Amino acid sequence: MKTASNESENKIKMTTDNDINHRYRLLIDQYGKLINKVCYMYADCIEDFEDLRQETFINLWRGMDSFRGDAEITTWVYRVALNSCVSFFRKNRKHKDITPLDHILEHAADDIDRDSQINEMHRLINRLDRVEKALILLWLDEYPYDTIASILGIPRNTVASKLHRIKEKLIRYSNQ
Amino acid sequence: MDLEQMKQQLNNLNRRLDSLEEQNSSLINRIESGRINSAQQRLIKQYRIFSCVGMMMPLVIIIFYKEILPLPTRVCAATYFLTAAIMDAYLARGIKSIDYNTMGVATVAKKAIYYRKRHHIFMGILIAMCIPLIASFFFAMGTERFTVYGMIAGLIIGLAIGIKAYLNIMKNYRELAICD
Repeated sequence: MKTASNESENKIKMTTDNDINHRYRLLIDQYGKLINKVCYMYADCIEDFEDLRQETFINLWRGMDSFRGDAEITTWVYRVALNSCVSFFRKNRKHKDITPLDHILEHAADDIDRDSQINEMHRLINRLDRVEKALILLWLDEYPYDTIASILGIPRNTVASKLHRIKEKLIRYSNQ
Repeated sequence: MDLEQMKQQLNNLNRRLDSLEEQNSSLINRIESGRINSAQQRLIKQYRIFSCVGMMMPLVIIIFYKEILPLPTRVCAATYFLTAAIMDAYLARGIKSIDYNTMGVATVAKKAIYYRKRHHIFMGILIAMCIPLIASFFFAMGTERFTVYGMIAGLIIGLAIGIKAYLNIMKNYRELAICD
């Protein structure tokens, strides 16, 4: 379960630094991995991933002025990343211009099996719709239901019932 | 793969994407310098430009084509461009209303898909409205040989653009329909 202590520290750091460029770089340093992970899960190829990442970075930059630390930073970053991804529509690309997504993963000798497992996870989650994908990603990242409800903008009870349906879907897809 | 395994793989993915952090710097520099805009900003700008052009065209047609085109053709053309301008203004306003910072993900997804669908529907309406417009131009100026050649060339190009737009709509249709 995600705790609030680290996020509180970050909140203070963000709001006392007046240099927006410095705050932005700090934000990307701290949350770059989270952004990359979300964009990876919504992309089908490296080109989509780069587009989604760029969109998210730009939207975070545009939101820097309006963000005053009145919400947890991780929640805000996750919301902006997910919103950038769910509103993204793929460009029409020729087949020869598409690079498989797993090419961007770092490789070590023993990682070939893990690549196939990451691909399998990606394949299963990719079968969900945009909002279901967001919900399951937040749940897999162990966010509490209240935070998930806040980020998605849906009631807490709806989170529980949707999550139940999504889990059933994923089990069904996994057995196919 | 069960859900616990998925959790592990998501953590694994986190670690495996480490190398990408080195690429952040050049992207951040470009963003901070204002050299790149988001897709939302580009789309709003595009719709606004087309809306402005569409608003101006009726005036251009009424003033500059007074001696060339009969009144019904000018009215038809002015209506077409005004309709297009209103549609673009509506889409620009709609896309601008999407706030990535404060809106819930479900709301953003719903709005994005809604305006994407509206874009396709409006394109279909405008393509359909083109037919009587082109016919009225043909009847108004059909005696001039080179004008006819120009209209035929425009028709062929317009058809090609229209077919491409239709295929694009059909390609996106399934995804948009699923998201309802």
